[in-house]
Amino acid sequence: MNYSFFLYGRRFIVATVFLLLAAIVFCYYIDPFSVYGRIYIKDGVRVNSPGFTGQLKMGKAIAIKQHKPEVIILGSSRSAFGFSAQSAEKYLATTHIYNLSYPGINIYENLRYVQHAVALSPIKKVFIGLDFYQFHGGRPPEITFSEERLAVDVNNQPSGSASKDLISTLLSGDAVFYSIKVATGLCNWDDVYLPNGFKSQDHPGGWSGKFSDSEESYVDRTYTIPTFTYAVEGKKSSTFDYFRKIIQLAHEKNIDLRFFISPSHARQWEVIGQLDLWGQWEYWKREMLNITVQEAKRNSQSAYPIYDFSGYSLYSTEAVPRLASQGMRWYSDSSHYRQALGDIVLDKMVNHVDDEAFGRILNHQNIDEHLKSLKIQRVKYIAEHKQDIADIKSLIDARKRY
Amino acid sequence: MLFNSYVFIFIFLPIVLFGFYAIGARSHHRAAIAWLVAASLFFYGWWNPAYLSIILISMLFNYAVGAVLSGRDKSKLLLILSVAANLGVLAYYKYFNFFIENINNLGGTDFNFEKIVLPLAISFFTFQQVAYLIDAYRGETREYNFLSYCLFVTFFPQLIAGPIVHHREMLPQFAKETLYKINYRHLVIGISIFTLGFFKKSVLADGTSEYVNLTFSLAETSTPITFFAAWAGSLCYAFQLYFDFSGYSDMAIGLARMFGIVLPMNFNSPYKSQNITLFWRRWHMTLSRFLRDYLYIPLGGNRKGKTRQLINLMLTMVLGGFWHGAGWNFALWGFLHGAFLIMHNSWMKLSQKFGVKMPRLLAWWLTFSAVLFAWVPFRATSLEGAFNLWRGMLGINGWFLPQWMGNYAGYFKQWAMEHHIAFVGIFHQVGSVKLMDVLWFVMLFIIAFYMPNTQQFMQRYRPVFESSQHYKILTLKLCWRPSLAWSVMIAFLFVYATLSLTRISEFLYFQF
Repeated sequence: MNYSFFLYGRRFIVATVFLLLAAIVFCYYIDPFSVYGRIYIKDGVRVNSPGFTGQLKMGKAIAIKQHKPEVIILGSSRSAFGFSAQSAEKYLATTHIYNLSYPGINIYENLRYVQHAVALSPIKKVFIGLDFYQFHGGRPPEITFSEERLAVDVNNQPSGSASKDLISTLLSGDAVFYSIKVATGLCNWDDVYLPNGFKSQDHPGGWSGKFSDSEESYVDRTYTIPTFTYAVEGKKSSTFDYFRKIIQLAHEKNIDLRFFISPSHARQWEVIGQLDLWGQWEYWKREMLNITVQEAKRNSQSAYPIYDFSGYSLYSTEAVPRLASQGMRWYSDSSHYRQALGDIVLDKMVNHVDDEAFGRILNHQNIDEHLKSLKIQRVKYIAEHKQDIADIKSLIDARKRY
Repeated sequence: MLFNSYVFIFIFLPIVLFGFYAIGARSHHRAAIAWLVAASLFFYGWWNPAYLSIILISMLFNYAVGAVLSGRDKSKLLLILSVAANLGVLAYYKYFNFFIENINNLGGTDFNFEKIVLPLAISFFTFQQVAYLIDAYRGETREYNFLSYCLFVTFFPQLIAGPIVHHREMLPQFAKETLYKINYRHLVIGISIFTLGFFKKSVLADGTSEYVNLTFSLAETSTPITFFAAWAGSLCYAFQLYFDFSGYSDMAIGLARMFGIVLPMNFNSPYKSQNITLFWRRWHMTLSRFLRDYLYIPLGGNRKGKTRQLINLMLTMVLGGFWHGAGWNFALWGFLHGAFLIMHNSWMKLSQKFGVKMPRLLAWWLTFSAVLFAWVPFRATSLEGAFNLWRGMLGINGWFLPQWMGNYAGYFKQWAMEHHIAFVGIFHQVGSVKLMDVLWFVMLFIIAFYMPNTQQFMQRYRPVFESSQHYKILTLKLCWRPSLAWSVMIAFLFVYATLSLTRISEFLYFQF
């Protein structure tokens, strides 16, 4: 009788070890998140595995260690989708560039990824796409963001460990699941990233249906749930403190840092306006400017520029077609600009062009006039785009009802 | 250290097992017990070593008082003082913040004290030791040595979240000579029970947590949760909590068995109950037993008339609610269960008088609905959040219906809009729900309501302390046995659960 228990135990151990080893070897071979250097070829182009797309925070944090770039681009999905690798390499005249942006990033995570990159790589230039919602301190923290995987802590002290990522990429249900999907070709090969963190292809042009879907998520989940605040939930700090820390780090390390307010479509600004956040939006710009100037004075250096691409330009007021087949040139939805517009943004920043119509460099002399001008242009936009305004109003009214 | 962590499963547990049997095989039984106590204290101190002193002082104090109480001089005053001291420490760590908060709210004052962090497992080891003191006073304890007593309190499988063990069950087991020799029978039975619990916790409970978190955190904002989302959220929570806590209990029972120790049963398919009294005999059974023996019966139980019995029931349940956490939502949960028990008690009298019997399906549905309704304040972090979800479940917050229905609504569309009915998809508020999510939910439903539980699968090998008669339902053919098929299946479940470990997970019962 006891022998049967002994045999059972032996079989259990053999089966367990076999299954665990099989999972590890399979996941390592397929490398579904492209963290062990496996590169796939799609239409003749070297790309990361499609699983990388679903694990950008991990994948990009690990990739920095391998790529050691000199230039990084940070920001939200707007920065992740809106720039092409070719253009970036052309304008910045280097191939040592990595796009660290990922969807939904907040200003704290921007800080942490800058710190991580600076700790691991000889960073010379940083471009950061700023979005108003990134500074909403009440947004619940994203559970997939992990402090552990970053090379330094928030005080720039060495910390972090890759052990959790090692386990999750080799010995997790997610890794096995993604490996099976990649191995069987059941994954989405249209939505993949290049080894340098840029999207492999541009997003298609948008139309009113896509605009409404995108705006709905901003109305329902991004700007006002809970009520917009700069105070960080559960802490005594404000989200501007993180912004300040980025600047302090850049001054300390002599990094060429450039901020830009993303050039979303005018309908995105209308969402902010109709949610009664226009005043906060203006305050946000003023406060960021104040901080860049304060920190510059403290370090006796010139202030890092903030390029304001928001507002009402020829691009951002592009007509939004009602049919998908009509596609837009500059936008894929209300939030995301296409790579053709990303090229213009890069051009202006690299060549340091202060363009009143698109890409004003904010300073204390022009901020009042600039904000006033945006207000006037908004009135004009509302008058000339009744259908667009009605679309957004119906979204916000529907939310108020429930 | 979590049971469902790599460090526990692949490092701590093998070392402790090896050490225990290596020492035990050389007939150093006391040293083997000391090894287990040291390992248990290390396990406890892993979170916060500073709190080790609390459990150590608590054990020294209670053992000394227990020795006096079980001697010739039985002092009732000493018993009262020592129980009060135990409860005082518990009250300080668990309820002081809550007390100050309520004083501030009521009196408009602004007393500001540094927040006291609740030491892990304090509710559990306090209860176990209070029971020990009372039994010592009653003369129901034997002379136990201090080392065994320490193991009774700290034994790591049951230290953090139960089952709440009784000295009568545990201490005689430590005295068995056979305990210290490796026994493959105990080892593989333990591994199998542990794996079933591990799978329940890591795969079933944690796999359900995302939707629950989404719904309940949304309920805390001022967003009114609509009908279907509210029901789905509370149902998912009912499943999550059951698989989480019963999975944890199975893991504890399995771990203890690896050391040859049999623990008491803690769950017996509670959601299959057809009345609320039965539910409490099947849910967190060791807590129910403690509350019955050391609170309800001393209060007078059913010996002092009907009205007093009902008051005792209510008091026991409200205090039981507070035991789970310092918050009015837990008191409300306890109050609801007290009310349900009173209703059931009254119904039993009426049904006996008039000879009426409720159909079994209706009885089950009523019981489960009551339990489900009461889980809402148990999970919600504020009363406002709980009321929001209740309003949703009652349809007061409006209804979201599938988009395709809107195409057929015609004239009624306007009427629907005015009555808070929108055709935007039933789970619009919490994102899209896929076919896999629905299948997952159906699977949980089948496992909770139709599948045998762990003890039933393991019934041939005395998985728990109790007499096994009342949970024998299965034909023996389906039961676990040390066969090739079961070894491969348990290995598969173990690997599946291990692969699911990288998800963010936390035992729900840790703060209780």
